[in-house]
Amino acid sequence: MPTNTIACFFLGIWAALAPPAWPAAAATPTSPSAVKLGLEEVWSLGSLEDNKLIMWVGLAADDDGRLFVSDALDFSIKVFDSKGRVLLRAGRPGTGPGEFQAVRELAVSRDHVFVLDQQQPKVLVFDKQLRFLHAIPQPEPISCLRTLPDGTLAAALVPTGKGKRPSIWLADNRGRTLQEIEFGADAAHPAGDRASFVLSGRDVVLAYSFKNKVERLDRSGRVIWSKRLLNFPDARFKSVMGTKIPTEFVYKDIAVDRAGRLFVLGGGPAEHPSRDVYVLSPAGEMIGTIVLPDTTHLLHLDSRDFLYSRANDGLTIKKYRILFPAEPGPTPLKEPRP
Amino acid sequence: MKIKSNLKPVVLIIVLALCLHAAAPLGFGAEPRTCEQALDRCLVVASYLGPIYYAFCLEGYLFCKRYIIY
Repeated sequence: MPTNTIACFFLGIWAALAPPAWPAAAATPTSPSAVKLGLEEVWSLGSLEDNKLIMWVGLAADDDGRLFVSDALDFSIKVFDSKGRVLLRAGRPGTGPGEFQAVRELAVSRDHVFVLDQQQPKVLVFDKQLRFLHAIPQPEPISCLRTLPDGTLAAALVPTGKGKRPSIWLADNRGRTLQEIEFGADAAHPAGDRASFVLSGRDVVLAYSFKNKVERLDRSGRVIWSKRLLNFPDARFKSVMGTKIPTEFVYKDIAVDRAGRLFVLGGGPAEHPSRDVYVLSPAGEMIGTIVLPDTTHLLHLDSRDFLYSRANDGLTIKKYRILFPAEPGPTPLKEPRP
Repeated sequence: MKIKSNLKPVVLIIVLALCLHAAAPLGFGAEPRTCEQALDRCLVVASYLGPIYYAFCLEGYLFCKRYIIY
């Protein structure tokens, strides 16, 4: 009997007897004062009736209201207008310039679209008309991709060698390094200290993928605050054929609005996995929660604070307006009695 | 292209195929229905192809766990 068959047999028994990934109790935000925020659907893009999207993965809106989307099963990137109409499409399966094998995240700046492909260790750079320009070699694998308002590319690097920490890599559109901001500590394992991040003012805010930690750093890497949002431990790891793998994501994504409020998408340990969004003040205080109608892997806020997320297993993009409770206004002055 | 009614197994097969690049054989028998099953199969195949494919398997697994809800 082949060794692999025996190994698979024992792995199967181990998997069947293994404890559940997370405790059965429901997660609760650590702040009792968090209020539930409302959502109003603005539009829905992609459905069973059309072929606009097959399985979208990456999404970013530019300041003109256009939506840039990567579609993994269509091997393409697409541009939609603010009403969800298709403007442009580019890409096909392959390894040549402008071709994709496993298209993933994307980010847009004023002049460029930056795209990741899981099978290509580069950042693929397109212009806003989706013409392929060039590729930037990745110094290390990238787990999250963003842009700064000035067009700077920002990427979370996952170190592959021991003795190196993960970092936020800031580079120009040719890949010339401008700065590296190190974070975390676990360099020993490729999945150990992954994080999604946003750039908020001069700071970086990280939502760790496999740790119960949301952290704000300044540009020198100094920790300004660090929070645990859920009453749960960090992700558990298990070994499969000698490879350590996390059993769940703790946090899946993070976004920031114009006021600096942070929106953190909860993963496996959340009460509603991949639907709960924890809204934090810039100082990290919990100010509210949102429960999305559908599971998602991504949150995006555009320059007008509309929220985009996934529905229908990747067939659909939903655009929402976030409804915050009305702020208490000043007490009206009473008319003096005659 | 209407693949929506039974998307998850299809997606898993494609994730697995992408993990193993062009060398991915698609006829593994029963379709994997969880990320763990896909990873198991990916690692079995990777053990024949070489250590570099373990990294592809891990990336595929992480994408699967982040993207697909089980």
